[in-house]
Amino acid sequence: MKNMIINNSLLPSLILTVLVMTLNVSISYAEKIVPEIDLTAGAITLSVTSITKNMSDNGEALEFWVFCASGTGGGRMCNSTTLPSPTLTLTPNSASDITLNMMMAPQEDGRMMMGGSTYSNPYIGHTIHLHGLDMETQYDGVPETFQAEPINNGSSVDLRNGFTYRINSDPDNIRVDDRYIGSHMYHCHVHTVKHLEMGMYGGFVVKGEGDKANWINNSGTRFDEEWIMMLSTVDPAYHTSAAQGDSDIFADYNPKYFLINGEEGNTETINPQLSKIVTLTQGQTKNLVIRLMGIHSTNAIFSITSGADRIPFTLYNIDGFALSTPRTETSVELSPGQTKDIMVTLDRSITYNPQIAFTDLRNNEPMSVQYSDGTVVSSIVKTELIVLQN
Amino acid sequence: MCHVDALYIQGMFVMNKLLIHSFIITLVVTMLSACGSGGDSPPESLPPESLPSEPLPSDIPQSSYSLFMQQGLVTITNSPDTNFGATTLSVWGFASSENPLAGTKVIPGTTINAEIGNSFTVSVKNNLSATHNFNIAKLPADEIQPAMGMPIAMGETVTYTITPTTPGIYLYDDSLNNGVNRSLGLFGVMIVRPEPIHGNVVWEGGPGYDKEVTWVITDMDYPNWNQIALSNGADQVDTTRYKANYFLMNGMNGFQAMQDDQTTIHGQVGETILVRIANAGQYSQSLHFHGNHFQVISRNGIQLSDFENQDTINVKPNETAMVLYTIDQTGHYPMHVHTAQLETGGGVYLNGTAAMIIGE
Repeated sequence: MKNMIINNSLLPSLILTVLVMTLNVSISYAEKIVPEIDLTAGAITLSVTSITKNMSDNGEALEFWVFCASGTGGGRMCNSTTLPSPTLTLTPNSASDITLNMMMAPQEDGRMMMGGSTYSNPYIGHTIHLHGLDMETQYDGVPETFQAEPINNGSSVDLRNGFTYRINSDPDNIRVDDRYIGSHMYHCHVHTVKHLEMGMYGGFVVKGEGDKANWINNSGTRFDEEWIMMLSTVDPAYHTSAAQGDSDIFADYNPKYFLINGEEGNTETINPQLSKIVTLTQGQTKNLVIRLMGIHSTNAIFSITSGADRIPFTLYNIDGFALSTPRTETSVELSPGQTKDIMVTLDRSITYNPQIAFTDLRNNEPMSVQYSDGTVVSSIVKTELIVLQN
Repeated sequence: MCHVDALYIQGMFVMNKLLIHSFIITLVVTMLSACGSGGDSPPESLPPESLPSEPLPSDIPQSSYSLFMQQGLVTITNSPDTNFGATTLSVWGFASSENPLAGTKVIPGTTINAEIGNSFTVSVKNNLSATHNFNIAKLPADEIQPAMGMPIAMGETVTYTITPTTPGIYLYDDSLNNGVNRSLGLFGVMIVRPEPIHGNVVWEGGPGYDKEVTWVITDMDYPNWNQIALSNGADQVDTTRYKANYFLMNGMNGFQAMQDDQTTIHGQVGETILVRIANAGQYSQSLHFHGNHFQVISRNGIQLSDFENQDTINVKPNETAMVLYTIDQTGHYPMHVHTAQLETGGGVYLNGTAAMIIGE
């Protein structure tokens, strides 16, 4: 663990609260900070731990499972815990190892009841799927296609228990090269219908090496600031102990909470943790890349508004690969499993509302959810981008 | 939820080291592949060793096709991991024979194979109750006679003459009852290829490929649409609500589709596989490929010139797409819908939309 670098994660709290005063406005600002781990600096160990979040419908308490950077003691020794899990970064052609430590990991029960009898639940344990990196079968994290690899003493290690995932370990089969500069993800690939919902995901960003570190892809276009937006949806029923193994619950998905970076929001109130401030000096222009990562289970549409106006932006990458010709758009769709990197140019003091409309799989329209007190909440989640020019 | 230590977990998994490609399906498989397998063929227990290099007999364009609107069954098999999930779904379909034997596959309907410029006929007979129709989405009106969409009464046959001009994958269906008839299984695809003299190219002057597979995906709200339509009539279904609980790949649940040689992407390192995709369901399906990115070459019949690299493609209801997947490493990889609840069939994991990718 001595080589591990965790940016921002040593703070006692992950939430920074900043009061920004301008001539006319007072803004309470608390951007969600997710730890970032540089894999290029060396091998890391991830553990799994559980957290409880109180959701907006009358404080409904839900359990989530998250990956966290740890020492050797498992989930209890995590340096920090966030939803989503820490963002991992890597430079192209670099080799790195990620070991999953299962000690004290929350997981599904090993024995389940169905029809009055018990059965052995095959969906215990966890893996790490490096989504978008096109890994070899043995490091792909899919228990149905690869289960174990021999170790020195002749026995084997189960993929879901203490496995080491080796990136770019075979010089004859480098998987992550310059083409992959862009946004990807990682997540558990055990019983994904359950484990994605439980929160077992994080961002994975391939960054250029050295002076290419702020290239949006291998084309050379530079960014100045970046903002990850990890999309997810939550059906509380999927978080219950009844939703394990094979269950009728999984045949009836009813998303109730719509999250960006693990935080809720709706059209009436902008969650301060879904805000970001970018400062400019006089005459300065900055390019902000927004890394859209979809781990949700609905359709979704991203756009940026300012008042009644739709703000154009440029789409550079899809699924971590560069478009040959970047496209100017006023909205892009993001489906489950996709990533898209867009860039917007900031050149003056202004407030934008980047937003996600989580939409129905059938008609692609925003949804609405009724809370226990009768309140109807929209599935449109607005964020706030505050540009301040000194 | 439980909290257990690592040693316990390792012990628990000793009994669960089956690989997908070695699953032994012991269930009766009543849906057989569209290439004409006999009803008494044993189920496959291993993945395909290779795809045929020559066109399958079913891929050779015919001068005439007969489609019979029939009632049929889809047999959902158990998850070999949990032994749950087996059931039978009553459906409608465009069958290849009249009064098909029990177990004959009816969804997706018979695949129509065609070449640009060559005329052929499609006779559609309605062996169901009530009136139905026949449409091919995105097919220009002047390439089919008589006009699509005319009512086909019970017992009647309508014969169409089709002369396609644009290569691609087309979704055909019965469009009546606000999508209910299609949702119950009245759909299939027409594949139009360029003339053989151009070789294995998607369209004349377009990208080449080594092998091809076709994925027709769908979803079903079995209790609220199928069962109501079959007992009370398709016009009695409340179409304002829809909650799919089954998701099928080429008419199969996930554990069958992952064993099906005509569904599997299978080739040598360096080979490029053309994947034709059509979504006949009501839900968008976001399909995620492991192992490599692919190139999107066509969306909804529109041939693209700037092929984007993606690992996930969202195919909405009634939409089609064509992608090129190049195998660049050996191994076994899944393709699965990433919209997680669509990975299930009746709540049973991996019995939803899935396929296998095998590189050798």
